[in-house]
Amino acid sequence: MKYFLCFLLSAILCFIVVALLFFNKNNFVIIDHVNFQTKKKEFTFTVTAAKGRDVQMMERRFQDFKEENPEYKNLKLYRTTPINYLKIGKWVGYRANPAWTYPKLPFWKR
Amino acid sequence: MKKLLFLTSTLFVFILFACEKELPKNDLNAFKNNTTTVDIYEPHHHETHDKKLAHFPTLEENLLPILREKLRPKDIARIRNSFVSSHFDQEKRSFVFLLETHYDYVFKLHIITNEEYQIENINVVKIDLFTERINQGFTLDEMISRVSFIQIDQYLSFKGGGSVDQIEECLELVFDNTNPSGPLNKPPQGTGGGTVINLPADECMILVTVCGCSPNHTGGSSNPNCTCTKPDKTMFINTCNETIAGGPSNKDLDYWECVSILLHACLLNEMDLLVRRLKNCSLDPNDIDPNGGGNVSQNPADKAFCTNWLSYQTECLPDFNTNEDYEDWASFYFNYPNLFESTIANSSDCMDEDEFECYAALIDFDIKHELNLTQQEGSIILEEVTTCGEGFEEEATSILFTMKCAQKASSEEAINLEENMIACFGDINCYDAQNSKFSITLYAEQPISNSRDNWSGNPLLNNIRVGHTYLELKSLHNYESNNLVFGFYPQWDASIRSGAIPMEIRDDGRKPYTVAVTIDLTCEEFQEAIAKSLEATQEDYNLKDYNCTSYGIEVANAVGLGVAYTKSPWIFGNTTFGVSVNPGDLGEDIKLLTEGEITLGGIAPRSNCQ
Repeated sequence: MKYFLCFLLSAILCFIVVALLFFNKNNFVIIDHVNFQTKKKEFTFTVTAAKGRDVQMMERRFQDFKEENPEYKNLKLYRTTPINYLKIGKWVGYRANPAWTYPKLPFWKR
Repeated sequence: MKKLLFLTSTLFVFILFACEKELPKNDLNAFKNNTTTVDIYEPHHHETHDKKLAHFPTLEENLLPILREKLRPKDIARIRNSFVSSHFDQEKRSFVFLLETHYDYVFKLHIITNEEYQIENINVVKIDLFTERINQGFTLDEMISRVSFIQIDQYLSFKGGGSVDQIEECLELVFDNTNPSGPLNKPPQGTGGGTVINLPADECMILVTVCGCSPNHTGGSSNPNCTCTKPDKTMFINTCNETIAGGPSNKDLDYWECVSILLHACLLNEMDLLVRRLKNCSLDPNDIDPNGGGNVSQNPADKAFCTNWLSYQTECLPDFNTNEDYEDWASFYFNYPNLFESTIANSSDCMDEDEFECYAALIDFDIKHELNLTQQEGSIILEEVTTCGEGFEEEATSILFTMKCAQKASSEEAINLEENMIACFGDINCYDAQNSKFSITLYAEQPISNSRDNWSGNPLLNNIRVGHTYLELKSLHNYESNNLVFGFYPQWDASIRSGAIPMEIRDDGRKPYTVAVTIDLTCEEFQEAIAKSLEATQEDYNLKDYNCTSYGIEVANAVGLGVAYTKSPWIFGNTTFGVSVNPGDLGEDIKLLTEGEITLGGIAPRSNCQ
């Protein structure tokens, strides 16, 4: 029990240190990009939520694309930008921003 | 000491899980199954001719070691990229891959697997082309449609060392390569009871008549090229899906259209075609389309190809002459088409053998792993590798991995504004634009509707919104309406402390806005708006100095909109980070305009002329 508590406290301490190192509230990213594509890049889109290019806009554009190109109606969108857990300032965004919930396409499959 | 130990180990754990690691291969299938349509992986359907070997991972894993023993990497790559050509049999689990196509037969790889997709039987089968065509469902029928076909014997005579001066037209022919120099003016009728061919005015079909037996068979056919006694056979090829100038019913097929059809029908292999193409440049450097009759304007693409090829041949291949040379270079062309074309396009930079080896290694690496490397990635790999022979793949993998890890989170969606402007408005001439209409719209998407606030959200929750400003140029000219919706963005992530970041233009069609204003322009003003839009892209993006709103206002005011250039400070917490124009202020300033049509709220139209 004693060691468990010690481990827990160390973890919390470590978290704070890392948070201070990597998340400076005066230097947070305002405009970030999340890239998306279909498997063979028939359609690409970059979500820049801060500037209103959000997932809804992407889905609208993707729908337009599929309507214009019925042969691609079964294509799916994949995220190509990786999640970087070192960027602690983005952790909340990773949970809250729907863009990050899209499946990721590994680079060797692009 | 213990605390230090725990701190260190915890840090280690954090670092270990810090990066979202690429999934290891064992997990890849699970990943695929969760995220893609099921029909492209282990078969759930009977039809497989739209699938490749990669869609059967277990089979691929078992088959590749066998293929590697027998075939060259590029042949394996081709097989991996070719489609499974026959129906997949759910019970037998038999697969057929096309290995090689010749002009009168094909080689196919037949594989039978067990339920676990492990190989039970594998063999290579040689099939004569006619049987193959029939197997694929081509119709033998006496209700013959119009014949439109190339004189394939003349074409194939090239392989026998003959020359082709001119293919006069696409017409009926005998598929026979044994006596290519013989006359072939109409479909033959074998003495064994050949078909009398009537030619109704039909469309979408071409006809190939083949000897009723193998060409070398001795017999009494009336056709001098077809020495056999069995009835001649007729094969139809549906051309409805071919791209033919003048529509599928056009009789006068262009030479290359014929060739294209032959290729699609597997009557020619691409190597034949490429050797022919190279050789024909010497015979007819201005126009390699024998049907073109020397009219270069009808075949500009081929002329350009020949110009490059002959120039490269003269400068870099002084001893080039033999058929073997042609076959080597056709093989290069076949296996590395992009590299071939870029090589011959630059005759001042002859490729030496070492260089060729490196390019070939890179392309094999790219094909083998289906990487679709960009030109930039390929250049970096070639610059950094120390060998192009053994060990290249390991080095290239390492370089590529480093490159991908170091890649910034940048956008992949930039458009070339100048090219788009030309595509949309390139044909506008103000001398004949009296009845044309032009307009510019400035859109502001405020972070908070009807507010001058320049941002919303919470930095701690990583959901800040700063809004966006963008433009639409629209023309109605010569009864054609074109519009382009575009905006100014940073190329990669921008923080509040970021300085200048290279800009990029993105298509903002279908983007929401809170306020917009549209003003009509004269043709000259419209041209000025285009020029200003392009000129202003010289600026870098700087959130606090020159941002999307600066760009939008600069262009719109250059053609007389007259919107205010209101700046507000960027305040986060208790700190001010500079002052700049922003969509919040712009939206409110637009409402104060007395000219122009103001719209409140909506979604911008899509750009229609990219």
